[in-house]
Amino acid sequence: MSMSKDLIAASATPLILSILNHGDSYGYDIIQKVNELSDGEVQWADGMLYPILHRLEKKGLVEAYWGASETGRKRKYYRLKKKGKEELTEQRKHWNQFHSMIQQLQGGMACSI
Amino acid sequence: MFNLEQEIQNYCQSVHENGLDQEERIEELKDHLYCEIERLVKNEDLSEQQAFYKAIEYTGNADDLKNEYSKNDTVYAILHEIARGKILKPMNTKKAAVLQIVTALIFAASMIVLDYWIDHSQYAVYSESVRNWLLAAYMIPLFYLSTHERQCGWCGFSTIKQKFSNMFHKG
Repeated sequence: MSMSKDLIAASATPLILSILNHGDSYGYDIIQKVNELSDGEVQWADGMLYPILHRLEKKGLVEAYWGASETGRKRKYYRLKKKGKEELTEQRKHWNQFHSMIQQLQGGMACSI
Repeated sequence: MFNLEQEIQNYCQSVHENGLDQEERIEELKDHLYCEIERLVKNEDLSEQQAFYKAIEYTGNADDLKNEYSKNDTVYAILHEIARGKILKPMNTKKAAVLQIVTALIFAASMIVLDYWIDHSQYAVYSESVRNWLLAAYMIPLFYLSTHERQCGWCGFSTIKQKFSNMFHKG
């Protein structure tokens, strides 16, 4: 069963912030990392990542700067800002809360059986 | 003959035509496409042409991308598009032209009304200088909107500077 689009959309921001928390990165690399981490389960329409990155930049969560690729091409890199780290902490809290609730309900159902 | 560079440029321009930060967005999308094409050519042994078409398929439909980017548009960005004649989606070109003409007429009418009011008000004594200041207050934002390419404050002036520089360096 493929993952719902709503879930993929909702998880985009915390995933991007988490990846950038490990170090500066660029759009294509972020997409590849998500693909690797999910074993291909989470597949973003590649181009949709960039509007999200620009939105995060406008919100002040990430900061962009231009560098060069290995072949000398212009490449836009993103780094996590302090506000982005705070937002990531908040998002992690929320996701852990949901995960904990689901785990508890799963445990509760197992007991009743 | 298939020209990869040209095809990538055309695709990226079609996604970001007339938008704010156009050049930066095009460069970013180009880098993405080149990365994907290099991967496809290396890992799946495709030709550049095949890899290009597969890469833009993965990247997404140009209209979908435009719509996604337009969600980021601020009021300023929308005004910028109106000033450049590229209007809110999904209006067609006829509607866009009508809206641009209407916008221009509204500006012109308001200038005439303001001019008349100044001449017949207590400010008539100062009318010459007040009128000049008001004209500047109208023209500068319009010029700024119509020439602005990036989100920087001095782009309109750098465009003038560049044009003058080109004039003196010609021949």
